[in-house]
Amino acid sequence: MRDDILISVENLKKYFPVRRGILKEKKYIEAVDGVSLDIHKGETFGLVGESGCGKSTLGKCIIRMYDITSGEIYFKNKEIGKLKSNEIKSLRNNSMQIVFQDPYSALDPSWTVAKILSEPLMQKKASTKECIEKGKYLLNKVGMNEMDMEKHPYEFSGGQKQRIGIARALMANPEFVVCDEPISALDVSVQAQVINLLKDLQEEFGLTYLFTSHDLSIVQYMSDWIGVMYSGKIVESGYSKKVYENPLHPYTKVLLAAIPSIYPEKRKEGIPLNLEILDDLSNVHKGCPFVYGCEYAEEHCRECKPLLQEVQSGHFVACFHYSG
Amino acid sequence: MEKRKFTYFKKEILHNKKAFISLMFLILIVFNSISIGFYDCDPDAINISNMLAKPSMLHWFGTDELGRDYLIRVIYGGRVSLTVGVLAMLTSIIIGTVAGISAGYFGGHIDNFIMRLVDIFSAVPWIIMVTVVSLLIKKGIFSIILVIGMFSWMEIARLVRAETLTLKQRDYIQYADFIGTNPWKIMWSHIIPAVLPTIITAATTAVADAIMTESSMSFLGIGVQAPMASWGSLLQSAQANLDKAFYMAVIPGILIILTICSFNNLGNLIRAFAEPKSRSGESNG
Amino acid sequence: MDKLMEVNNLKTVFKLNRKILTAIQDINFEIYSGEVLGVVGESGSGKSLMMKSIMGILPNNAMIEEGQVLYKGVNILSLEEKEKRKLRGKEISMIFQDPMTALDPLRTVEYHLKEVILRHQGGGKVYSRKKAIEMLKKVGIRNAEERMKQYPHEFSGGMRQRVLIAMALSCEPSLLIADEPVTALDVTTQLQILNLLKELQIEHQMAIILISHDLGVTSDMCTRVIIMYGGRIMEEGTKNQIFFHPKHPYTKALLRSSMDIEKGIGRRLYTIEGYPPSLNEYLQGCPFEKRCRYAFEKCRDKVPKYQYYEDGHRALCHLRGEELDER
Repeated sequence: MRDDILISVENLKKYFPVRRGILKEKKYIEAVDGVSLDIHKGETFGLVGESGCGKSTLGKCIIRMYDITSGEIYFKNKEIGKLKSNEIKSLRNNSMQIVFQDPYSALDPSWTVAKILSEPLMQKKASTKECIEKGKYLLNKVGMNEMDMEKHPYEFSGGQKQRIGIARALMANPEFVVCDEPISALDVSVQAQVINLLKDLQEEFGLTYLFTSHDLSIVQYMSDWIGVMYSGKIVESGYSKKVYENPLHPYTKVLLAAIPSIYPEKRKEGIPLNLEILDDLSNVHKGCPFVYGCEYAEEHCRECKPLLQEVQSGHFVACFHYSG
Repeated sequence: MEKRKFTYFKKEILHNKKAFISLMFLILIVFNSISIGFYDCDPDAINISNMLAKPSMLHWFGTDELGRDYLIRVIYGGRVSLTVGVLAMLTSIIIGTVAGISAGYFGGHIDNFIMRLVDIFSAVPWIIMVTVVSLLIKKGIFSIILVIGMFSWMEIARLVRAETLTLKQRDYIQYADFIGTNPWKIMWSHIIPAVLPTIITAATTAVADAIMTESSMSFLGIGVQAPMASWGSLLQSAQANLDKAFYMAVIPGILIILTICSFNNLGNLIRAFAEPKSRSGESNG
Repeated sequence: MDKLMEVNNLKTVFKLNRKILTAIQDINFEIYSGEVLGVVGESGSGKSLMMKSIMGILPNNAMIEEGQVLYKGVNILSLEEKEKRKLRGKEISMIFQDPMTALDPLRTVEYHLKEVILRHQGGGKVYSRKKAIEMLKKVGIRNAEERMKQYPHEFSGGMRQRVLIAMALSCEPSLLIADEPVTALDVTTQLQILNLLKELQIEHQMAIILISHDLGVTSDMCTRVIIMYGGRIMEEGTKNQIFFHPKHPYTKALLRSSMDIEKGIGRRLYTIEGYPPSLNEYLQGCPFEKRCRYAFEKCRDKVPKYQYYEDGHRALCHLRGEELDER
């Protein structure tokens, strides 16, 4: 249930500078543009959006893999957004971890599995014996064999590599794990295995997840709470079931309707006519980022940015159509 | 990865004629260079009565202008050329790798600084630099090694830097940094194993280049000094006797060419294995 | 409907380090003009390789050991390279998952289109430019005349795929082979591209072979479906037969996995334990045996024969579909 808040983010912004000449005006890519959210202990917060929406960046900012441009991040009520790299060192690795999207680039191909798994603990000055013990234990937990310790990543399939990555993330007993599109690169028949595994581990170790994906149905399945991201902002959020069954934001509706489904009755109707313009994303600073693709767009939407507001219990949306 | 590739490598060497011959040739040269030390023969044994003798059963390569057995001179010369070649290569590899990895990994000002150094060193024609520097410092085999090493690290630095830049983006590197691993440890344990194939390939080329450079320097008189000989200096002294004893020039000349080609062939073979093969068959998903 | 292409007993092998590995075998199917055939499979299933074998664009270490591909009655595998090239683009066109592999980053989009048009239709500069603009507009690229002057990297993923489609369709082929055309795209872009393909398919009366690992995409577009696994065709049938009356254990398992997610119920997902076979594994019997919940001894030793059902529906299995339901 929704108890203590483990992580709280307020108005987080992460801008990446775009390299231009010395004399040219500085330009930025606003990867995360003012995001606020709460993640409760033991729950899965699902972040869904398409490429470039900022979900990966947001996840990495929360665990301080990146420095943030502005805003605040609270981990167990302690502000960590402004801390310097060396101050944050003990928090990273110990309490926060990450599972990457691409199993091929997540593991060092020249290292053995044993070495890969030991890496987070060696950082904490654990002995080799401890590392091997824990490594074997977690490998078993993720459904692999002790004998795999001496092998190299190339000897495993994508799904197996992903399991190794998950085991590595758990070596240092973290409380919070960012799962950054962990199944997107896997075969369909293997995706379900990894999802089940993540859920089992969450229950056994009491983990809190931030789960990102571009697939709304998978996010909905994994998460207790969903945040829909578009152009660096959260445009809709709420209890997983509520958002999935009753999407409010026009973009969420598009996302849902666009999922190709075997069962036609699942498909929702009503794709906005301006879908093609989404291809040509240009950053609109003044108004709502979705104004060009939206079926409800009005003058007002071009001028002002809508804020995230609770329009039903446990269901927030950032759209003037609902909040006038 | 290493064990598997090594077995394929061995198989390929045995099947690729050019590479096999190159390898055998180099082994022969190296073996001779080392084993000559156990023989009781003096390369400086002057014998005026037997100057410029043609190759015969007694002297397989004939004798030089001071009656010294040319075979022995050539083998000792080969020893010097190889030693200089290998040590100069090591010097340039070490400087180049450290520079390249630091520039690539740290980026920013460090990268700019190192790359400007690369530009500066590359811009000046090496032969001028090498000549000037060698005139300033004490002559001797270690000076030559140092000088060659100091002016051939740039290409390796560029290669290593380029690879480091790519590797920096890999998730596992970002992860190592995330958990707080020291940057030098990351470079040593993650990046170096990954760029090792590139370095090894560059090393074989570097030896070939170094031997060429040393030969040129010695030929011009600014390299190895008498009575020590290298193939290059032998070439130089052979100049005066071209009409009477052309074999004195031909033998070291051919040896230089063959050695350089052999190293390059081996380098090409290693490069073919070092390059990540494109996945044949299905891609993921 | 006329039969456009017929594949008979196709077998392609790889030569890897002096070993010969079979990648695909016993491939038999037909495609009629105007229909959309889906080929579904995961990594190692051989679906991409099958298409490359048909098109004659296999990598150097692969070769066709057996079989023929009859296109409008002619065995295209036995054609000379020159004639094959004439066929590609004019009659049969292909689009790939990653547009960047088909586009030269140093050439403008205009160049790409004109090159294809000139090569297959001739007509000269003026005609080819006009046709290029027409095709770009048709695939939904606004400001075609300006955007034509840009380079591939200046386009987004979805736009690049549109350019590829424009190139593939510029010569009005009878058959389009699309190899995972939307896998790398966002879900909204995916929808647009699929809709575009549907429109163009109807307009040009073109047959399409759509290769994908995504069941949803396949069911959206295709009239008939082939399911591949471990280099063999596991099941073949109409969309309705495959998705609602599957007869093969693999098909059933695949459907169950995706259905569970869609239903969104918080119980454990149905999974197929294990992993697809790698090229190196020599399989004597059914390739799916290791992961099949119905497998018994015969499955490991002997390759199954096809079980036939109504209207051309078939499945490669020792058991009948009805027997599976009982277990």
